Amino acid sequence: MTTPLDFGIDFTTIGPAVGERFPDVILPDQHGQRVNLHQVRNGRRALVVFHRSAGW
Amino acid sequence: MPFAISYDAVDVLTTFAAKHNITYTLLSDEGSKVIRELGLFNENVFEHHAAYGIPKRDQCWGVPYPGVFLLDEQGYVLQKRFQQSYRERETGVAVLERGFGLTSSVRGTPVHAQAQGIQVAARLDSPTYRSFQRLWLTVDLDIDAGLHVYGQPIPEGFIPLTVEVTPGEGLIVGAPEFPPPTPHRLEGLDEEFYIYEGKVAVSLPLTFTHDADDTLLQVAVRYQAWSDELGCFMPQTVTLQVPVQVQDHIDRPRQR
Repeated sequence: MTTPLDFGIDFTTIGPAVGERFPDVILPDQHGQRVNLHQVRNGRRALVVFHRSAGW
Repeated sequence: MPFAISYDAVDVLTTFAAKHNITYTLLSDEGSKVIRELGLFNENVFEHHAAYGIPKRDQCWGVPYPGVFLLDEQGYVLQKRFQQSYRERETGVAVLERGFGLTSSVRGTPVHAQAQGIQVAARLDSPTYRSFQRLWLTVDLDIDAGLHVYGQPIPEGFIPLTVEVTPGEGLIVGAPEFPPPTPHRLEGLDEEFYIYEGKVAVSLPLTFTHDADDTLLQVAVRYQAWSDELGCFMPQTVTLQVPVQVQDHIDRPRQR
């Protein structure tokens, strides 16, 4: 199969919506340090990328 | 500033970041708790894989729908960029330019052409592609002062501005995005026209569905111009050939 398939997903209803505040996220980073996304952002714009895996 | 979230354990991220010299923040959501809380857990991942003929692998359970959120200074979601197919990805340049309206210095080299009353430049947001990557082709038109180019909708018998890329095996061409044209009335004609003047940028998405060889995209820009002084010109077609090179996926040899 070599065509991008359309799974009919309504992404407006999946994950935080446009216009909403992005939820607070606190997770460890690649150095094992706890990162509070909004705190680290410190008033700057941000890109939050969700991806499959860095392991496979 | 960028954050990338996956379900990987910290040590997986440490190894990945070191190997690829990644300095931005990778976040470990081991157990997919945040992915689930945010509603991004892909419960249908096995069905989606099956649709592509990919066998079930347990490690896939827990992945999010892949995509990008753009946040403003206050942390509100400005834009969400997700694709219907989990395999499809935009380039970083496309996210920055089309999401944040920034101009990236990393782009494909523009290809130029000139025709009656108009300069045309075509560029991709990356000079390379990986399979299932979505590249945007942007065609910049610079229309001579005093000239208009017809847009759409358009009365019968006139030719609107169009940009076409010849599709080929492994290349899917999406619908072009035009800026809104300006309504315009021509003296002596009853119909209403929509026109472009000055600088116009038209973009269209291209998805490469497998690793073909390096290729030349065939781009055709068709338009009809009109000037107050000289009247209506004959329709013109400008053709450009835009090179694009195939690139291997990280850690994975090319598939044909």
